[in-house]
Amino acid sequence: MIEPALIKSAQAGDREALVALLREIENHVYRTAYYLLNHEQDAMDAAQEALIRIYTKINTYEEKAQFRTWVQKIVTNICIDKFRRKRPSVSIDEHELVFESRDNVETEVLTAYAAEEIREAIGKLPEHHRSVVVLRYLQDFSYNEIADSLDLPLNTVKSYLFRARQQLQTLLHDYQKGGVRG
Amino acid sequence: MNCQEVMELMQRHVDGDLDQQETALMTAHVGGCPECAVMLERLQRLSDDLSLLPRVEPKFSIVDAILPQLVRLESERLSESAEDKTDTKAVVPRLRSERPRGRLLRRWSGIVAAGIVAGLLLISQQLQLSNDHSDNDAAAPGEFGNAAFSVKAPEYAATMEDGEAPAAAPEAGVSERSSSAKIAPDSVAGGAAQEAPAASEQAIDNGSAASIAEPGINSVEVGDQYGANAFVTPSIGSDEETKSKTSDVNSINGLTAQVTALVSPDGLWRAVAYEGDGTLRIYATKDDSLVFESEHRAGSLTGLAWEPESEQLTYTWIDEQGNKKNLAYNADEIREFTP
Repeated sequence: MIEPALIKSAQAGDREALVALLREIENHVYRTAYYLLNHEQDAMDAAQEALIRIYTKINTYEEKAQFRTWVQKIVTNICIDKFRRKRPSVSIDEHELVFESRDNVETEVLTAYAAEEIREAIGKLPEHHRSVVVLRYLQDFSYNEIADSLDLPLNTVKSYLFRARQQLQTLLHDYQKGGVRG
Repeated sequence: MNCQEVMELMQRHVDGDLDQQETALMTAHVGGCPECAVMLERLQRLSDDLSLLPRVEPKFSIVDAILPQLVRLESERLSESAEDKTDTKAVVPRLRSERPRGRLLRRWSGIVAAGIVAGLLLISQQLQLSNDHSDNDAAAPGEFGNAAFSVKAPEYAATMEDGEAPAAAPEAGVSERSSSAKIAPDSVAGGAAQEAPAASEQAIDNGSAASIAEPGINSVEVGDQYGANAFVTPSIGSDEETKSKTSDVNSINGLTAQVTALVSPDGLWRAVAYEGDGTLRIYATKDDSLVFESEHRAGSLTGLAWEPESEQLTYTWIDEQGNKKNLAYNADEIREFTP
């Protein structure tokens, strides 16, 4: 939870407070970018862009909104712009290399690959479904918070989330039936 | 109540959104409908799996990485509001006074050691050169080196191996400490002078005096050993540091990824290339917006050079097999082409 006093100081022009505020949120910003873009370097770029935008636009934040939904709105917008500009691609990035190089017992490897599999399945969802799932599960947002972050009506958020879970369930179920995991 | 309606209840159930009555309705249906029972179990398991996804974190602090940019944005804002744009003395001390020295040094040493700050590269290059002149008379060298080392070591430990990081960190500290600068007054106000606030701040904090010329490429004084393309080689530290970068793939992907950044002579554009990535990116210096991004390709870019009129950037792409291809970017047409 971000201290409201810290936000106030930052808005009043206290640069120390503003930088401290950015430090509080950088992991949250990165996490959303990472799961939306499915690529480590792209996520770093997007998170940087988002933090700089937050730094320059801090005065446009109004207290009637939750700070964290305001932050997530900025980062999801940047990510959606990014993946609209790019061809969709599923990347094999450093995380997989890390798993391979470690001396894990078999069960740990399986758990890791399961998470990897879910991440890839999320990457196959349409952009808004993906955003809803990421905010719901990686930021623990409520329906209302998701609606605020994405500027969507509450019912649309629910229908996106429900459809996304059905799609994920199908994707992952097919995967399991393929025998890789179960 | 049909299965379709129950589906919505089950979906809301996994989000904890049902009241007692709705829960009872759902439970009653699921009790008599094996298909829905299976679906509910799957949904619940999926939801549990999603909740357990790893809370990934960046490999290094993003805020640290963008601090120089933030400092620059701040100084631009201040200089815009100042009536006399050439009065850099009013700008620089204020920046300094807003951040305690210890934290500033720690951040800077982290940034320099990590070698990820595009804007700092030109300056660092020069600091390294001035270090070669060994006029290191400022504050206790040992103390500073140790400070940089002890602060940074734990962060390095996460991604680097063996003793390589400790070798690199004090090295960065030394080159920083040896900075001693005379600030060209017009370099802060000028549009092309993006590194100036950072550099001057650093120099003042180190309490010594030497010369950082205007940070445009043209004015970088390059020693013979660096050759004409010194600005393309953003290595900050010593040979040891370079070695550690090339010997550890993870560290290249993470902490020590090197960046080449080159501002156009008119100060409008900044060309950026990451080590190990053949992608060219062009940013507008005024607001750091991404103006152009080439196709994503492996390999690396070298020999970046702006034409004097700023309308064109030439560079060489070396792919993973070592094949070289000369390319160019046209700033007016915002496109890449083969010259």
